Amino acid sequence: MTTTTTPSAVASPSTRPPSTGPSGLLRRLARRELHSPRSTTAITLAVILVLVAIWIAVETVLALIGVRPLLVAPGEIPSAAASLPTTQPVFLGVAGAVVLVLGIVLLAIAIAPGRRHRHLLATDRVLAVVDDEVIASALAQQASATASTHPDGTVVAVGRRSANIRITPASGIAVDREAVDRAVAAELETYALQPGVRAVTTISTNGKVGQ
Amino acid sequence: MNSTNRGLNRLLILVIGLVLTGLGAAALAAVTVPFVADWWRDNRAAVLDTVAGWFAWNPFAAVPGVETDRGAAPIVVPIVGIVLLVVAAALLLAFVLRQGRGRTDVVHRAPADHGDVVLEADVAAHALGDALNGTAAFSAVRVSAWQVGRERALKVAVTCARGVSPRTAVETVSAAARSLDSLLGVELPILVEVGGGFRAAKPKRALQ
Repeated sequence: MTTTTTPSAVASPSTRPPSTGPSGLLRRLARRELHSPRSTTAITLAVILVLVAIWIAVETVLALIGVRPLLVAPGEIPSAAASLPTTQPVFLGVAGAVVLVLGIVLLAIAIAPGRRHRHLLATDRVLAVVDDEVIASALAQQASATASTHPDGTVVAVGRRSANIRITPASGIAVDREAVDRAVAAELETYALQPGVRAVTTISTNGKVGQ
Repeated sequence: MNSTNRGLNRLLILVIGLVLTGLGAAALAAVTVPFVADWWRDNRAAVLDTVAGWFAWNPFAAVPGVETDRGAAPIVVPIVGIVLLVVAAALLLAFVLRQGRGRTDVVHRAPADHGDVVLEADVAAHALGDALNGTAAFSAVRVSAWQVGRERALKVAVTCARGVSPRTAVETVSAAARSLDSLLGVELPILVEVGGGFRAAKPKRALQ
C-alpha cells in the first residue's frame, strides 16, 4: 500500500497501482467542498464596484461635455464630504456606524474558515462529502429503531465533532440509553467520518402521549 | 470542484472590508469623538487643499468647472481616468464571469497509435446513472465531469432517501465506480456528494 496522504501531492491514475484509495487530487477536491467559496459575497461586491466605476466614468464624461450631472459632479465630492461633519452630523454618524458594521462583517467573511456542514467519508475507490443532515437522518433512524420509539420522537443535531441525539419516548415506555449509545456509536464507527463524530444521547424525561 | 479562485474571492472581500471599516470608523469618530471632531474642524481646509492637490493629477477635479493649476492637462487626465475606470470594470466583470467554471465534456484522453482516444463525460454519466438510478436509496443522481488543473475528475451527486446510512450510500456508488472502471478500462478519480433534501422529498404519511 503506497497511498499518498499529503494534500498537495497529486497521484496520477496511471502511475498509481489500483485499489489504493482516493488520490491526492480527490483529497484536495474534497477539502474544497468542505468550505464555502465565498462566491456570493465576492460577486455581489464586484458587481457593486462595477456599477460605481461605470457611474463615476459617466459622471466624468458628462462633466467633460458640460452636461448636468446625473447625481453629483465628481469634482464636488471632496468638499461636500469634508463639510458633512458640520452640515449633517447625525446622518454622518449613522452612516458611519452602518458602514463600520458592514466592513467588520466583510472582514469576518473574508477571514472565517466558512465551513460547510459536511463530513468526509472514504472508500477504497471513491471519496465522498456527506451533508450532515444525511448523517443526522441515518443516526435518527438507528437510534429510534434501537429504542423502539417513533422516528418523529428522535431529534439529531450533527456538529463538526459531535452528534446530539434526543429521544422523546412515548409516555410510560422506558428507553435503554446505554443500548442506544452503543448502537449509534457502532453505526458511526462504520461511517469512519473525517473529522470523527462522537454521539451523545439524551432521553427526554417528559414522555409524549399518542404515538 | 469548479476552478473558482477562492483566494481572490477572499482577498476582494478583505480589501473592501478594510476600506469600509476605515471609512466607517473615520466618519463615526468625526461626529462622536470630540478630539477628532476638533482636529477635523481645525485642519479641514488643509486636508481639502491636499486632496485638491491630488485631484490635480486626478481626472475628476480636472474637469470643467473645477479650478486646477495644471491647465495643460484638463482633457487628457479625465480621459485616462475614464479608461482606467472602464478597465477596472472589465477586470471585475471577468472576475465575476470566471466563477464556477471548470466543467468539461471530455473525461479522459489517451494517446493511441493513430491519434487520441477521447472518452466523453456522457459515457461515464450514462453508465453510472444507469447503475444508480434504480437504487431505492437514492432519489436523484447527477454525474458531471470537471477539469481540475491538468487532470479531470467525475463528480457524482446523489440525493439520499430519509434514514439511509451514508456508508451504504457511498459504498453503492463505489461499487458502481468499480463497474465503470472495468467497463472503461481506466480508473477515473470520482468525488461523491451525498445530500439529503429531505424537506422536499418528505413523503406524506397516513394517520398512524
